[in-house]
Amino acid sequence: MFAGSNLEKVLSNGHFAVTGELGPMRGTDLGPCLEHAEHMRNHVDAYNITCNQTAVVRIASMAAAIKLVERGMDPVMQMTVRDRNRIMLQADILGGAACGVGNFLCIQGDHQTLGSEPQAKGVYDVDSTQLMRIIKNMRDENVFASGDKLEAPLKAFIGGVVNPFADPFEYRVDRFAKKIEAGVQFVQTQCIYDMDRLKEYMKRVVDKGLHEKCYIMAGITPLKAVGAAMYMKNNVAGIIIPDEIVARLKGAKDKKKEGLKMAIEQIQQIREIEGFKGVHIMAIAWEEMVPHIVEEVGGLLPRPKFD
Amino acid sequence: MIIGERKPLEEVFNRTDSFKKICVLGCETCVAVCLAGGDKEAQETAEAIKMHREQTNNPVEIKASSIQRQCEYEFIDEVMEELKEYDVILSLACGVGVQTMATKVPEMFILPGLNTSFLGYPLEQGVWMENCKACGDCVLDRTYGICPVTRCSKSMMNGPCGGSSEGICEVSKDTECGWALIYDRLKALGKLEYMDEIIPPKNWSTSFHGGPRKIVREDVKIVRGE
Amino acid sequence: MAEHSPSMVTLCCENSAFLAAEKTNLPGVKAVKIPCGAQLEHVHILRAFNQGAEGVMVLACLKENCKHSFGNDRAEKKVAYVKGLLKDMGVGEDRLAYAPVAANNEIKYTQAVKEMYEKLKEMGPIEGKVKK
Repeated sequence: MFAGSNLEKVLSNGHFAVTGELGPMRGTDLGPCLEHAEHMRNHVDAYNITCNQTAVVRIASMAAAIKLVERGMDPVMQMTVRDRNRIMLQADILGGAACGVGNFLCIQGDHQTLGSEPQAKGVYDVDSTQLMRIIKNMRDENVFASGDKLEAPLKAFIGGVVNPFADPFEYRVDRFAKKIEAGVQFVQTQCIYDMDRLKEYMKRVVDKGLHEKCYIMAGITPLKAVGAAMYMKNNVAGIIIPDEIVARLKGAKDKKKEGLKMAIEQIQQIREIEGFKGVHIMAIAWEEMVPHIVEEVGGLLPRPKFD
Repeated sequence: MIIGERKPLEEVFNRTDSFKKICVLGCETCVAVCLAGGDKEAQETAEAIKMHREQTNNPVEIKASSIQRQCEYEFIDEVMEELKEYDVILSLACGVGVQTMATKVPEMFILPGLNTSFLGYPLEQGVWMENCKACGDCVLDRTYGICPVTRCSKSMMNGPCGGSSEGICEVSKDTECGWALIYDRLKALGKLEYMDEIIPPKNWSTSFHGGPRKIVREDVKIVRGE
Repeated sequence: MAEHSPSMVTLCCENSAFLAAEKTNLPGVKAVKIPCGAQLEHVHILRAFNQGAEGVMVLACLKENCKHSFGNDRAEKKVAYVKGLLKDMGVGEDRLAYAPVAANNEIKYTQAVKEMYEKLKEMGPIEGKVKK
């Protein structure tokens, strides 16, 4: 065991993992976030806490992660390299680990100009791949990026993201391989809507044997409304929403119900694709629906328990 | 070269309003080539200030002039005496020139008339592109001539992020993805294996993050009496 | 109160507009010969204002008719740029205009200039400017 976190146990024991995403609040009350977590307690194995998601200022992911640890829940602490240099990134890893956080997910982060503080200075001291290697070295070699020794060992299960829908497509699998080389142990994908492209990506991943070197979790985001789908389709770089998905949503009487139904079907479909070891449900501003989705997929409950 | 852009006139007016004798001094090197701070622009700025002053009934004695380079003492020397007749120099040089002027003529007020934008080159007439951040530790050998520090909006060193779509960066539809450019170039040169190499964290101490930089070359320094 | 008589400057390309201007005599308007629209600089327009003009009009050759290929297009773009400066200065971008005129068309020249002159009359003196 690298961290002994619940997520690591679920994955390493061969279970199909389920995680849910939680976005901390934009004020000092973490209540709603914790409520969402409680609500999905029996339906997910771990809770992925976003880190200033979409470059919008929120309660720090570490603070929320620690609160979950206190409640006996397993957080996945996201860390963007946008807002912290290697001093602070390593400090937060130590801080999180010291308070019981076991899963650290390294991401680049949306560019600061796209968020709530577009005048901010972006840090980008290291990139996400380098951060993975830094954590790996802290854990396996007991050294900081500088080469200095840690005073006490680090336990960490290293996560990351992959995006089958970004370009250059033909490089995406190689980039994943590079992240594995850097130390990533589990990844979640960008929101999946384009099944054809996903299948092609996963075929290449499996051909390279990457699915055996890293746990891959499919990222699923239920669509709530046509407007949201169109916004993501046209404005969010690296997300592909095929026209038929939009058409299906448009054609439905009850858009929300249809959005959930599509998400449930998508999870059922990705379970049939070779290489996936779990699903990560990102029900943005719709966290309360996670239990429903998990229940409806079928065969995912009860979630495995470990002592 | 250094690319600049004229400061908004309002800002220029506000900063110069209290002075009665102004010299607008252009710089005929980089900022002249990018049509922002040469002799022509100095004259234009002087006329604009004059017009504003007439409008606001705040007469001014103003002159437009220029020198070859404001970032070298020997060129400043040529106009030193003349400059001293004025209350203020509105320098249209880049930040380097403005500061060199301030060091060379410490008793005078030197104000910037330009915003120094970046190090770059003219992509075509009227379009300038940033392509160097002067990080002090060039990595162009790894990418065969396209700088990831500058051309990637997140200065990533190990390939494109998930916001790269059809060659375009997530920051803006007008911004190319630097890593898509690098990928295409390495592919064309048959050097794609470079994409697989993990580049370790960059040493930023050679960039500004190590504090203001200075280069000293004993071999070319002139010693008194030499 | 007597009607305001503005002073106006026309910057005219010597290959077209200036030839037309020479055949006219418009009170309050001073036609200045420029070698080509391409030779016009921002500073020339500003200088005209600083030397007393309350309105400036740049007139060059008809579209695709410039002796030096694109001088007229460049003049038009420069006018657009200086309009921006005038706006920033609070002078108003309407005090500057561009029009294409053929050498043999003094009627159009007269029309365009008169129209502008009437506008300047309505606008009155440049705000804040002390009349010399």
